[in-house]
Amino acid sequence: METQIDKLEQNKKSKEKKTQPEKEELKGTFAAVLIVGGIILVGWLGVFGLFLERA
Amino acid sequence: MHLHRYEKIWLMLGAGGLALFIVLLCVNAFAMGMAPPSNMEMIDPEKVMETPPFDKPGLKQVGDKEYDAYMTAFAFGFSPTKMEVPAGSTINFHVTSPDVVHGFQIPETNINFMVLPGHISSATHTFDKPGEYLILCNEYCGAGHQVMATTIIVK
Repeated sequence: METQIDKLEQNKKSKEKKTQPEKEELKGTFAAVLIVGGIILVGWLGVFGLFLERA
Repeated sequence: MHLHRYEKIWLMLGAGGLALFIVLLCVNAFAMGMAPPSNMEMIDPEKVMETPPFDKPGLKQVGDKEYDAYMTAFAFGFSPTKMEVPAGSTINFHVTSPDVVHGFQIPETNINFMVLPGHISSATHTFDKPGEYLILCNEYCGAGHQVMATTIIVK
């Protein structure tokens, strides 16, 4: 006979399988992060250039 | 805690960027001597008009092509109203307010700071190009804020 504890453990195991971080595809996220970083960097360089030009 | 390889890369880039900006900030502040325009000089805002050198605002030549400009920003104008310097002059601005918070901006230059009653704000600029430079208040200070401006003529 299955006890309630066994059922709970089975549930736990199936949940763990669903969120395995190794299997997540992060290529798109990585590209998006680099694009945002690039925009920040270009913006900073632009403002710094303006500062130097006006000094 | 498990981290994806890409997560490690972007966290390192973010942390590296933060470290780089802190280093740049320290180089600017300590090696290049860049400080905010509000230095630690104080003045009694109720006695600005009687306290030298602000009792007689104007330009004082302190060196070859170098001037100290003691100015007051008040509702609604700047004193002195007209200043003239030769091209290539460096002006050290020292500005205070006898009433409310004002702004002090010279467009096309890096001069842009707040003028707080009780404080003397300072900034320096070298005017290489001849022309008429506008000084304006960019901090809303009351009903006549829009007319609060003056000019520096660089010949």
